[in-house]
Amino acid sequence: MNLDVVEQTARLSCIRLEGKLDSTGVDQVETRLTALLSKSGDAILDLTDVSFLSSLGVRLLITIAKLLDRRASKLVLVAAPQLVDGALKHSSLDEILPIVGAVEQAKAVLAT
Amino acid sequence: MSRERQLRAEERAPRDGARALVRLELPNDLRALEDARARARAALSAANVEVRALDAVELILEELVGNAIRYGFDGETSVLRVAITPRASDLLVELVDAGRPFDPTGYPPPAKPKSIADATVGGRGIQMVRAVVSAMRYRRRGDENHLELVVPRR
Repeated sequence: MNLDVVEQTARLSCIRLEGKLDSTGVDQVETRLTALLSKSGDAILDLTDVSFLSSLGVRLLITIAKLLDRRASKLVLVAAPQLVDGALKHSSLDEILPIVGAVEQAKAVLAT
Repeated sequence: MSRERQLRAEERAPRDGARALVRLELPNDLRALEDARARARAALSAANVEVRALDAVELILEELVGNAIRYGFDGETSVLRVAITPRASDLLVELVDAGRPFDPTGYPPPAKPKSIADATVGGRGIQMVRAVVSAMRYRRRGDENHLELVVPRR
């Protein structure tokens, strides 16, 4: 699982993940991702290149969203239709987090 | 062989997966799970099984075999069996383990959260599996958990 910091300012972190967000993937990125998102305001997680999401991946996303929620910041997910119609819907994550199809759309959501 | 012993042997025999395309035996060690998922995916992909069904099989193995390995044994070494049989319109996935009894078909779904603040962090694996299968049947045979799942191909 790869993690790229696309953008990080005091107000926004945009991070792209690539690969399988399963038990192995979570082990690989959890510590770094949590540390990165503990620093600044809102966050965009770009999951466009995440091909597989397990319940442990969902657990990580909810943990991060709660971390941000506690400091009144927001998390927006960017994901491809396959992931939205599959794991994100099946885990009910689509009911509690904003999910859009592109990073620019995510920025627009955070600007409102 | 006594009748009682014969019956017990029949009950324990691996009747499951007799015509399976994929048959795997893996130790109850999470390090073996990723390889098992990859092997199952490769074999089913070579048999032209649809991507959506491949994803469902990977999810089943990650969630249910992973759960069995994590919570089913008290430090004892054991072997889990997986058999996957492609059929015309679905895949039959059979999972067998000798861990403590656990029936996922009776596992209650998590409450639907209204906000991120009241969402529970975990407990979504079985919910996610239920969403990708059309049937799930559990039986306890002897000292083994037998789980059959049907994955639609379309």
